[in-house]
Amino acid sequence: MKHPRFEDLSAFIDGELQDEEMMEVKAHIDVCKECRDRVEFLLALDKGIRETQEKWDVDRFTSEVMERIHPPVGRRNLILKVATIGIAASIIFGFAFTNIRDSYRENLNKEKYQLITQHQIISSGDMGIIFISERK
Amino acid sequence: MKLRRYEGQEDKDLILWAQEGDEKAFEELVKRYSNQVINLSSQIMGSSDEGWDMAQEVFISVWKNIKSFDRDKNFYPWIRKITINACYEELRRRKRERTISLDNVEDNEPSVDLPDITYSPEEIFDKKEINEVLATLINTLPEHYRITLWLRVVEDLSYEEIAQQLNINIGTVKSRINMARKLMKEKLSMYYMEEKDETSSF
Repeated sequence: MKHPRFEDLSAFIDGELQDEEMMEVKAHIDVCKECRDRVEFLLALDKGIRETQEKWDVDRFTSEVMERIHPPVGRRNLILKVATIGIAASIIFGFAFTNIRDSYRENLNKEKYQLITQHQIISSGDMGIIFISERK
Repeated sequence: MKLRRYEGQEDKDLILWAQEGDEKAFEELVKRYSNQVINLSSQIMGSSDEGWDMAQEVFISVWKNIKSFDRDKNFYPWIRKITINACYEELRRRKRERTISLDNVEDNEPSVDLPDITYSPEEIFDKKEINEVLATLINTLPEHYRITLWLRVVEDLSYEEIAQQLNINIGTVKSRINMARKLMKEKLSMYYMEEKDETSSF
């Protein structure tokens, strides 16, 4: 009795033999226990391989994927908040600085005016007003 | 406005919503197919960690290209193709030094010459630890055998579909699957022969 080759049994369980070959192999294994055992072994091997598939943490995987596609709202809001605070701080600081500078200039002008009115200007030069005062 | 229900929704509807930009719909699709994709990419990459990372790249690619997907076709075969292409591209890009390259397959006969000992399925597959043993042994197969066998046995692709996915001819598919099964059979035989020897030595 001619037994099918291993590769024929392999193709047989995959349904990948020609119709005539499939029928020949089937007819043989119906009457040959040894080949029937070999086929059962191959089928059990395939089933065992399918059962080696792991069960993954799908929730964790999915949230990692979605985070990469669309960063979470919390993180986006944080960036927005930091930017807003930065801009607000710049505006406030700039406003305060301008006010202080203007106030200083105003005080400086007042002092100058006082000096001018209290003293007599004798002469002025290139480096601003130079006056020689006479005590009244 | 009617609230959408995502869980239990058909793929076709989820895909349509995802194509309109609904991220929740896409999230549901990721949940449905992530197990299969991670398992497949792990087998191709040869490692669970790399499989996990590659699977993420796959879904990001799916999201970017989802508008081009034809909803009349099945969704998973499309993802599977992206997975295989992405993994193979990554492997080629790394240019790993291997004895057997990805493109130049040499279908060698198994190097270990063992007697053809066939244990009955009950002797082997009813053992408690068989899943662990098989998972370990399958990882020792040369990668082109392992991947081809996985596509046949787990992904349930025909020889022709495998040939198209891997850009090889059907004869090579048949040869690789045959060789993979032969190697697995011999490795299992060797494993349980050693186990029997250890047991009998006591």
